[in-house]
Amino acid sequence: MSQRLLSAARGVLETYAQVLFLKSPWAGLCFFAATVIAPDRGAAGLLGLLVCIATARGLGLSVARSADETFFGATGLLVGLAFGLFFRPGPATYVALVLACMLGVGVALALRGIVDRTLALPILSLPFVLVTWLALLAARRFGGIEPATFSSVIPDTGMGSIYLRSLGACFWQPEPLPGALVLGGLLLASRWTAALTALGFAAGFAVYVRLGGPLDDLRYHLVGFNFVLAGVAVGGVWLLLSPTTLVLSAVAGALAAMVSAATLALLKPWALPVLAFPFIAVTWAMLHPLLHFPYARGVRPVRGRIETPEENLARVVQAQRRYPDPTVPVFFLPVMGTWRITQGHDGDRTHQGAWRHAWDFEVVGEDDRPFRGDGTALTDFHAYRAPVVAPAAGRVVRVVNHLDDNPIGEVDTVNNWGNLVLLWHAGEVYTALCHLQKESITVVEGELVTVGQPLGRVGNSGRSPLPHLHFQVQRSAEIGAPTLYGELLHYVTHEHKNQRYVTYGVPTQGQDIASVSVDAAVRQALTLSPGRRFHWHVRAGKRTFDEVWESHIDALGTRELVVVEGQPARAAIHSDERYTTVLDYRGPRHTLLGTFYLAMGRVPHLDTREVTWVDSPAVTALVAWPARILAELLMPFTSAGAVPTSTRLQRDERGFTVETALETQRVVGAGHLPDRITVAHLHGEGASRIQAFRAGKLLMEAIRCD
Amino acid sequence: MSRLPYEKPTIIKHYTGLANKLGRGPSRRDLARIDGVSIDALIEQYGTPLFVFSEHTLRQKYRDTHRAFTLRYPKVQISWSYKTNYLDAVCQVFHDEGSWAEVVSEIEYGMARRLGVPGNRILFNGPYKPEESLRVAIKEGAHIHVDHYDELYLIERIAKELGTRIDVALRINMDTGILPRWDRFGFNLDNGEALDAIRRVHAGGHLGIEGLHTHIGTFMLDPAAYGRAAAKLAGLAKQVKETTGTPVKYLDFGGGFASRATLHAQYAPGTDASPPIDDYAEAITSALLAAGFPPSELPTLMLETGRAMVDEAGFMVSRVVGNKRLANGTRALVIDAGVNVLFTSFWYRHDVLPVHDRGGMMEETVVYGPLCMNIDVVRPSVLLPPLEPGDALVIRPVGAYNLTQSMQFIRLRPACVLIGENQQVDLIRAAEVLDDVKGPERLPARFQPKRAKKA
Repeated sequence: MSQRLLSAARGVLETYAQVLFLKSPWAGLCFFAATVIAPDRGAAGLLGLLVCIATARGLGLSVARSADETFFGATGLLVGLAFGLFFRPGPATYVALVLACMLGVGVALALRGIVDRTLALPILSLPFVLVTWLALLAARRFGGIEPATFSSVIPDTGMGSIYLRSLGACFWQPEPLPGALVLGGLLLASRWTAALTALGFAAGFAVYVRLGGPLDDLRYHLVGFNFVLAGVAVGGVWLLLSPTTLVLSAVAGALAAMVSAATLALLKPWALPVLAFPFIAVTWAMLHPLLHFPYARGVRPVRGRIETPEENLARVVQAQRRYPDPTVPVFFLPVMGTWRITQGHDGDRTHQGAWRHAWDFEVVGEDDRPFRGDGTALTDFHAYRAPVVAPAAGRVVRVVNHLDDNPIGEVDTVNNWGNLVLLWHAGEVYTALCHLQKESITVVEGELVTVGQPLGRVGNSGRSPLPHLHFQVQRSAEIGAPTLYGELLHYVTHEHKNQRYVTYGVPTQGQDIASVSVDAAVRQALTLSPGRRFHWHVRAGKRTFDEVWESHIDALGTRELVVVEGQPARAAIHSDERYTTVLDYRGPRHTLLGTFYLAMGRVPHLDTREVTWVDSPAVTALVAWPARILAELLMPFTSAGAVPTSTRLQRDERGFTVETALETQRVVGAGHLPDRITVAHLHGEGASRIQAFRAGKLLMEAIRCD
Repeated sequence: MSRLPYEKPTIIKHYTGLANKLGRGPSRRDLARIDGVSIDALIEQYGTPLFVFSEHTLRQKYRDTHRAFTLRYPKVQISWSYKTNYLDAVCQVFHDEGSWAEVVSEIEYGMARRLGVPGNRILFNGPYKPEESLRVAIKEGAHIHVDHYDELYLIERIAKELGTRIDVALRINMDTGILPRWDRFGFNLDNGEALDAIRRVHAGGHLGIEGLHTHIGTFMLDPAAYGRAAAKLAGLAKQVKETTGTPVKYLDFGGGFASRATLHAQYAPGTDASPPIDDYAEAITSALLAAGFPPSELPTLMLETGRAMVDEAGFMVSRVVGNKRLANGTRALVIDAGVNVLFTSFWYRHDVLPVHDRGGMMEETVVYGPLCMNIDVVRPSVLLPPLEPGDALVIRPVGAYNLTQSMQFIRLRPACVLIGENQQVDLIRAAEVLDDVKGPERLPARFQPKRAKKA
């Protein structure tokens, strides 16, 4: 019973938070506190919220989706608060409020469909605006509803106090104290939202003042909060926070000023307040082009869940820094063994203009030459007749197999591309493998191929003076179509004697690359299969404790390592054929899982020795809150919250050890984190011992004991 | 006017008649440096006979082999065949390059472990594996290649005793269309013995089959035989999957690839006639890729190369002891390296080159070693210029088998040096002394030599 009450209360608080695009119940509590400073106004707001939700449930709407409930609830809340501000409390007012809220639900339902589908924009608080205008107009005729009186003396006139009043006005409490409470709630839940409110307001205020607008507008006509809301919406809620969107946020505030003035003028004969109309108009006008037309440079829409500006950005920044862009096509190497890229993207010979995104692969021997002997015969070349395999699963759409291989040094410029295989891949992306050997292609048009399936052999046909493979990603199934930007997956580059593993990237001219050969034993030790339990006995300085992890998978396939005994924490993981990666970590600062996340952020299932790789996991969850907030504030400008790491895998008798070095000195507040972590694995058992060091001293040691 | 060097008179038979279809005569070749290091300097420091190994060639051969196979197949692992040359330094070069160890006895197993090779990177072959050595191998996770049923029963007994499941590989022999057909090692595929063995292993319940191994011959000049072996072994691997339900993890094709040495019966020299390693790679990998394994069950391709990687990296430096004329006038040379250190002279027509060619007419010469045994012939016939005692000769390629099969017979085993990548010379095996031969001997007291009484 108390559980249901608690979750209902939480739902109500989340609705309060929703008004400023937040989800935190603590912020909601601050906002609720702001509304009940004048108790009857707060009561009206709560009543409106409850009526709307009741109406929605009464109509049988599926309020199992809490987003819906918050949406209707927020409409009711705003209508109620507005009623509380504009009318005196009384039975007539409350009846009118209930009716208005029921109408609000209907209007919200009707408009939401239209706005979502036709305009493809968020509905914001449009139902509230329309219903409240309607109610205000209707109230003139109903004598029973008495308008409230405003004090005509506003003692303070400074920008700061008007700002606080504007914040309070988001909840129809245009006084400094509620505004301060709202600001407190904002700072608690999302520092960037608070910053954007200030930015939007400052821009709007500055425009108003500069253009000589009457400050009374800002004091009496409840206009300033439109600047605030527009600044937040454009700055980081639907667009990813970035230096550009900060500028746009100021622009939104400024535009809101203009639109507010215009709306004031428009509504003057009707004596209606502008409500949130300028905010909605400006936000729609700016979001529509920015969300739907792809502009480059710093303006990107938020994909997926809408959270606070810094959470939206953190998701993307982390993913972008560590993982391939989901909109970029990625492929495995189309060849086996070690090859040299003799021409890459934007190459100096032929990869230019519309065909810039291509790679030429050749094999060189120890002497750095692509041939043995004197290099006059095709068979002298290492690459000649090397098998070419499919870089991803797909379907064969074109095969050219009949052209002769040129003698060394001659080219065929009539059939530029030579013998080739053109593949279609899911996502309407095509790849071309060109200059193949005559009669060496073993697949036919229309055939489905799997990744790694042999297709043909490297030859010397087409515009090819010596045997090499030309590989490009392209937009259409035509031979010689313009290329598309694509990246290669899971390969190792050889730099002198060091080998570096790369998850995704664009190898450049002169680089030697080889695909990752998967070691079954390493893979088996790292799969962290769902259902596995890891019982660790941990010693950290004088403290000893036990921590038990379990590997979970949900219905959508999302996998996590969850601490089931010990301080609750979770780490999202992903493991496939080629590598295992820990995507993020959420939990307290001093758990073993957090150390595991830092050490095992990315581990390819390699069997090669002396391979290292780099990564940059975010450490915001692992640093103290001042450093975390600093990192958050710097996030749009630099990647402040991620620590560069360098890892290598060393095999030994009974298994292997993953050793990670962390450059903690590069991140503010990370000085207490370990700078070296080793995770020892045993064949057949997986991780068995974790050790974390800082400056040579052992910080934490954990032994598996299950 | 200074004295001219003395040139011994030589009698060369003139051939009358039509012109020689083979042309004028062979070019004169000498070899004064190996990898840039002067052979005279080596002789001065280490004497002769002297084995010289080139680290650069070892690495290059390994990388060529590795490249030839990795270009054509996604999962390749090369193991160094210890019996070909088990010098620590040579083995370490290959291990440094990434190779595992292939051993054929518990002695070689110990050599590999001594070098720090972990058990799970050792392939344990051989028809004789004493029980104790099997227990050690099982404990250390080595990959045992079973040769015959009795060995299988022994391993099964050990598995039962330890209560664990042990994964082994089976050695298979088959007809690959070549002669001689080796059928003494492992289980025969063609007559069904291999399938029987697989079923027996599975039925026993204590062992698993992780790999199949076949080594079809030695110094194979026909790569197509490997292609046939690969196709047959892949077929057998599929039968393993059908019988046991578990796919095979690796297919091991052993070695036997020809080096650039020339066999006695071969007309064309090895440098021309031996197939390049790419041909073998092509044969094996195309057969494997065409065998129809599902991509996730593609077995690792294991190789146990020996000769092909080390032969051309080894040289023997020897000095002339004396000149002779045989009864029929054939010139003969006695040198200080014979079949005691050049066992492969029985099979190969080694290249014998003077270190310095001081001019003079080339003459067909028999090269004899220092042993007082009639079979001690290094080359029955080779064209050499006149040489004096003390002149040095280089014999190559001798990297494979000569060291491991060298005898402590009549003469002591020579020193071995390794020339590194930066021309640094390291002694990797000191020349043996008398104590190395006599050390293990125990003379019964009654045979002790009596001390001469002081007068």
